[in-house]
Amino acid sequence: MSIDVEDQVRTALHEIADDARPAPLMQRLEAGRGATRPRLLRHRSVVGAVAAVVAALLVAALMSRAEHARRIDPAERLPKVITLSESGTLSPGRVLLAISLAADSENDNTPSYLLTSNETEAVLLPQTGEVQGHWTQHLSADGASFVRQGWQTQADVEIVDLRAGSVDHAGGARGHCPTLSPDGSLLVAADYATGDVVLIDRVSGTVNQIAAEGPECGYHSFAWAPDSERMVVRGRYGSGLRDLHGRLLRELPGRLANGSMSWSPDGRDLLMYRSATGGFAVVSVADGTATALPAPAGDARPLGWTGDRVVWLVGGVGDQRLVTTDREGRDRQLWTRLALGTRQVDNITWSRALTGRG
Amino acid sequence: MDAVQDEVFRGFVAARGHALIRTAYLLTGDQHLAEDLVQTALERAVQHWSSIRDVGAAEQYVRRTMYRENISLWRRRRLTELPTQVVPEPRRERPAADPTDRSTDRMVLRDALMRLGRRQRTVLVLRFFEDLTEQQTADLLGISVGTVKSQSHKALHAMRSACRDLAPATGGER
Repeated sequence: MSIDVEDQVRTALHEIADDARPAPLMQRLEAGRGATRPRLLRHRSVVGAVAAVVAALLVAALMSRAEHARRIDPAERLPKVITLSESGTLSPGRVLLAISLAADSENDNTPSYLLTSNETEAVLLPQTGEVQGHWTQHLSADGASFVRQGWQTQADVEIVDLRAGSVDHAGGARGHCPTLSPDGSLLVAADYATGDVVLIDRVSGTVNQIAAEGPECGYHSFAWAPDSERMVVRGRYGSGLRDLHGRLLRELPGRLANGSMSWSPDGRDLLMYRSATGGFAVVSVADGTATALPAPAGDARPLGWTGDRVVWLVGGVGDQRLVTTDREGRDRQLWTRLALGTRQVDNITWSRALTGRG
Repeated sequence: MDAVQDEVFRGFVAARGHALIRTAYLLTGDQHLAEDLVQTALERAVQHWSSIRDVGAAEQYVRRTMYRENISLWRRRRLTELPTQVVPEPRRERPAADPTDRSTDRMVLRDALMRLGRRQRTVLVLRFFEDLTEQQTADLLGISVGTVKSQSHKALHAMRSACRDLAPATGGER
């Protein structure tokens, strides 16, 4: 059976599922508790069988997970379902993944939740009170820091140390799309007013202008290579691969799919959106060639990589999930489900513990 | 179930209830049956709630219960439906794009999906809605990978027969 048929069936299933209406499940359960015995108890013989099956399935699931781990090589795995906690405290483990939610209707707050290893609950990262609302935010590659930028035109930058809880304002830097290098030593950002791209050395505090894109370039985005030696800068006139001095190494077609998450862990490819074709592509860093990346069904957008597989956010409110595909957009597999209630994901970033080698 | 567990359970139902209903709707093809199926699975989860280690595990438990209960319900009530491989009146070729095509497509595919046997439908949902691998699907349903492949193949074939607009086979087997 062709993969095209599978994709069409996949799309159809998601569309049919959209016809399902929300149900007052708790009311039904409470009514059921008082009225009739649960169906399970009417079939006691089934209970034992189900228990045995569940035990067998747990073993099978462990075996399946082990098999999955052989196919990709990140150091950590995600739980099957991630829930959110408003009041929990961050556990001592390393932070694997950050979920940033879309702004709610009451204010511009875009809260972020952090998931540490061996946990299934992502914990709310408190506001510092200094940067209100966030234009961009991302987890650092080592999972030790979280970078946020305020809504203001001359935006404040803050880098939250997730282990110490301290906040670094990068020497008072203001800029758009501040993006931390994978080794954590450099911060690249854009000046909204001038369009200058600046590189901030977090150790020495020096600030160097490495590119000039002209004023009102509010649509910058940056993507660091895994080696922290190069970056892709998206400006007014397109995207370009640049070195630390700002020298243009190669022009690239399209715009970055999701900042530094767009780089494959091996540093060879980038996830990009190509306006010319209206679709996503895997772009070779070496020669700039683009290979179409068909989106899986379910209102999908690519977020990044885990091993050599592409991670997609799919599904609508109430049923969002992360799935992975190969570089051709095939072999779709569930990575994790996001139990967010009625809230919607704005962006998700993760550390190299989940990205894999690089 | 103590007060804290009760609160966690309520939060779980509030947060994940609709996602579960969506899956159950695909499995049953009916809103009320879907609600019944989810309710049954949640009732079971309540009984084991104290031994479920976290909300993520709870969802896995509830989903497993839904899939298996759906098939066992079919076994108990198999006389109530007669699944067929081919829809009696396959859709005719349409001459040109039409604004109503999308909803028509959905109706035809939904009809075809509902005509599948429950096992085939469950396999299809697990493979192409839940995005599980063949191995994961086999483990979950307690059947062999070969059975998953054959059920999936037959189900896709039936779906394609039901809707001529589905692409003809152009690639290899997966």
